[in-house]
Amino acid sequence: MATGKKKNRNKVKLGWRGQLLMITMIIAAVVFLPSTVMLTVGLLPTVVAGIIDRTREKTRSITVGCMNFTGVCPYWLDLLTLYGHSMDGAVQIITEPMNIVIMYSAAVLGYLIDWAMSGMVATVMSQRAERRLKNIEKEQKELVRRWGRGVTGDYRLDHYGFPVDDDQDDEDA
Amino acid sequence: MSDTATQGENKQGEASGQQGDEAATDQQAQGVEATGEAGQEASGKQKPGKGGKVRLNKDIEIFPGTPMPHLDHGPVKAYAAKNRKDQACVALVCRRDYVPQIQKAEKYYGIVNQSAPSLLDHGVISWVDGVEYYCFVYLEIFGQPLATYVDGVGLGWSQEHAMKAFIEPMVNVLLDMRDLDMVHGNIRITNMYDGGTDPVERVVMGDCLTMPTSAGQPVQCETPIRAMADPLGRGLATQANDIYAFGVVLAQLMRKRDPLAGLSEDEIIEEKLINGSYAALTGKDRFSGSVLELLRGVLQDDINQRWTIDDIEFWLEGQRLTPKQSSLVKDKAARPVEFNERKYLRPVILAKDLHKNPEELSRIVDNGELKQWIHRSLEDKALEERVENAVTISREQGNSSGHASFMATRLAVALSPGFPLMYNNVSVLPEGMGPAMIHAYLNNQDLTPYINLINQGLASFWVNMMSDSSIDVSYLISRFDSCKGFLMNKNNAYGLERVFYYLMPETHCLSDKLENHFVTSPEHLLYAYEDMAANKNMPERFFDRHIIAFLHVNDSKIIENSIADLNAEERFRNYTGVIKILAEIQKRGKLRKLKNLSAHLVDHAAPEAIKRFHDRDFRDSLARELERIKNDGDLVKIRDLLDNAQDIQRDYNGFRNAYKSYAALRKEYRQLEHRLRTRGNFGKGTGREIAAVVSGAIAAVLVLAMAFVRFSGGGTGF
Repeated sequence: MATGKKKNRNKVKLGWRGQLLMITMIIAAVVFLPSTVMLTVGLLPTVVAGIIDRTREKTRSITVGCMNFTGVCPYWLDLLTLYGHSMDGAVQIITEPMNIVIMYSAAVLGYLIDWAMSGMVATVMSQRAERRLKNIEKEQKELVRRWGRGVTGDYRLDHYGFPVDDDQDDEDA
Repeated sequence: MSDTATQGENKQGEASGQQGDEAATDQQAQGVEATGEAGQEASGKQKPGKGGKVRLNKDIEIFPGTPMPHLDHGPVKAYAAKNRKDQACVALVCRRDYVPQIQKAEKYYGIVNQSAPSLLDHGVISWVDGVEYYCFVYLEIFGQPLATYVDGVGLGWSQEHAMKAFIEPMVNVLLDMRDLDMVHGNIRITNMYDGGTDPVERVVMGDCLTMPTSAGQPVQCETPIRAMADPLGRGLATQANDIYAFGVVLAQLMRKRDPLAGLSEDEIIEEKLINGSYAALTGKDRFSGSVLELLRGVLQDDINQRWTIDDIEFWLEGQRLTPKQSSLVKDKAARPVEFNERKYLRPVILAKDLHKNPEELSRIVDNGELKQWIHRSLEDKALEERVENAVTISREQGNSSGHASFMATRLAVALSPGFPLMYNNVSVLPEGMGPAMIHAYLNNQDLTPYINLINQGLASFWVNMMSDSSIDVSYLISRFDSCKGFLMNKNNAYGLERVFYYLMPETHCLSDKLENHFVTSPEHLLYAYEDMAANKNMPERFFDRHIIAFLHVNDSKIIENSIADLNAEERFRNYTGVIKILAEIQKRGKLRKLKNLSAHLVDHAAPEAIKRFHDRDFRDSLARELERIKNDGDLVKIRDLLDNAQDIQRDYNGFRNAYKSYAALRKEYRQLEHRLRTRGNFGKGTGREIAAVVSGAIAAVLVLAMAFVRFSGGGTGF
């Protein structure tokens, strides 16, 4: 029940433009059937990536999809130029194992780029964050040294900005 | 004649518009520039030098080792002195618990009279015991006192001798004083001198400046009402009191025996009240001729009947006035009332004794005996109303401890308006409260009776009971209402200390911190501090309640802007207030540089005052700047550094900004820390986005390249 509700929450209701686009795409898919068949098979890793990617931005899907498309592109161009955009040509391309390997290897490259970049950037950002934390501590210490412990906001201050329980001024740095 | 010329010269030299305190200040300032004097102090006053000499300003040398006891004025001691012209002088060194009449000294300079000794100078001296006192120096023309004691005196002068040697000279002096609007206040036979001649050719009047008026007068020399008050509690004397005292001395000179010899003070007062002062003082001695009229006239107890100085002048010119013989005691009851095992016929005599047994008084009030006596035996409606009023007010005040004593005090005044306020062991007239309290304070006596008199509103009651409308005492009501307010206010500048200076503005500052200094003005205070700083014995705290109250009364403008600072809880405000006040005194008084005091302020007060600034870097720079100017002696510069409004505002704004910055930094820290704690995902989102961009870029390049190759070169299949 909850999953169903969640699914319903993620669904986007299509307006008339969306519906028109959908119909157009369906018509195009039928009209350009050989391309559709070939791209469907070749871009399968992208579809899988899109399914397993739970993020809203779908960045992993994009990464894998771009590289996957790069792998599919030359064969698609062959279908358009050498095979005359025929169904036979499409079937011939997708039944050739080496072709599938190349297409899917490009998708794998996309996964690798995604894994490598996210790892590198996360490390760099973590280090930067930790440096920033240290700098913040330094700045705070300097503020306390210069302006007194009242500047921390941890003490009740009198009318003049001095801690209320300050019998004698603290000379801490 | 030479004396007159000398006196005239002195008068012209001194009475040229200088005020006493400012003259002392200038002379102190000049004293600092003087060189070659032994033991010179920072304030300019000279410590006793070789041979035990003490200098008063530049011109007078006083010899502490040469006392002149025959010229002592009561408790005030006399010492030999000399001026620059080597003339013999007398220095009267005032006691600190008797407030000298410094302001009257300026008027006294205007007296040029052979029977009034010339005042040569007056001021603060540093005595051999290391303490400062106030001192008056006269030209020595006194000779020997006419008598060394009052009791039993009767010199038997003839009328002619009295006229020539006493009456005419004294009347001249009194006329001079009248013209200068001043009063002697201490005329008595032990304070009169023979001028160094025997027989006396011309009496010389004694000192009238070293103590409050009437402070040295025995009961013989005072009217019976004033005599009942303590000597220091008699308040200001008037010329009528001088004339009375003149009459007493005249009687003592002319009579052959003292009719009051051997009587106690109480008995003397009672004798005067019953028989009148003339009869009491002259006794069986009979005087004839015109002097009889004079004596009767000047010894009138009723002030409205007493001769004035004009009347005496007319008499001297030969006009004859016939004075009435009356006594204050008008009322005599048909039957007595018994009180304290004594029977009383006269209300005024009863009033005199009420304070001796307040509990007994309560009894005769509560059982109606007193009321009945007044109603039936005296038949005085006005008196009855006054007594009723007094009893009612007393009962309204409640039955607290001391209730009976307060009722006794009120009833005494009701029975005889103008009587002193007699409560516990104290007997004062309202005007005399100030000097009496100061004397009691300095001698560690109990001040509670005075405080109670003020809190119970007895001075106002006394004024309301005054039936003699010729004497204006209505100002006393507001005066003592103010005192009551001061006692209720516990803040600095108020309290009992303020009462002292309010009632007696002429008094020196009574603070313990100044126990060795005689400070009579804010400028003197600064010089005293300078002196103490030079000797490294400055008190830890600059001001106490006495000093603050003293400054407030002497010059409220100096201190009123800083009172809030002095009363504040924050120490930096207290010290800033002190610095502001001291700087203001120096500036307004145009005083010289005070190097020791400024150094002390920088070392001890400024470090606390600096703490008003939050910015430690600014504090350090201020401290360096203060260190640089510390020996300049300019307190105004120190104040300007520490109390600069722009700096204060800038510092406060800086603190506020720093406060906000700290809060923002703390927020950023917490956010970052939280994100880092979930390290697994930290940066991953951004990484993926970058990966998508990289991948897209690579794909775009490759696809475009492939398309270009394919469609331009007619490339073969892949």
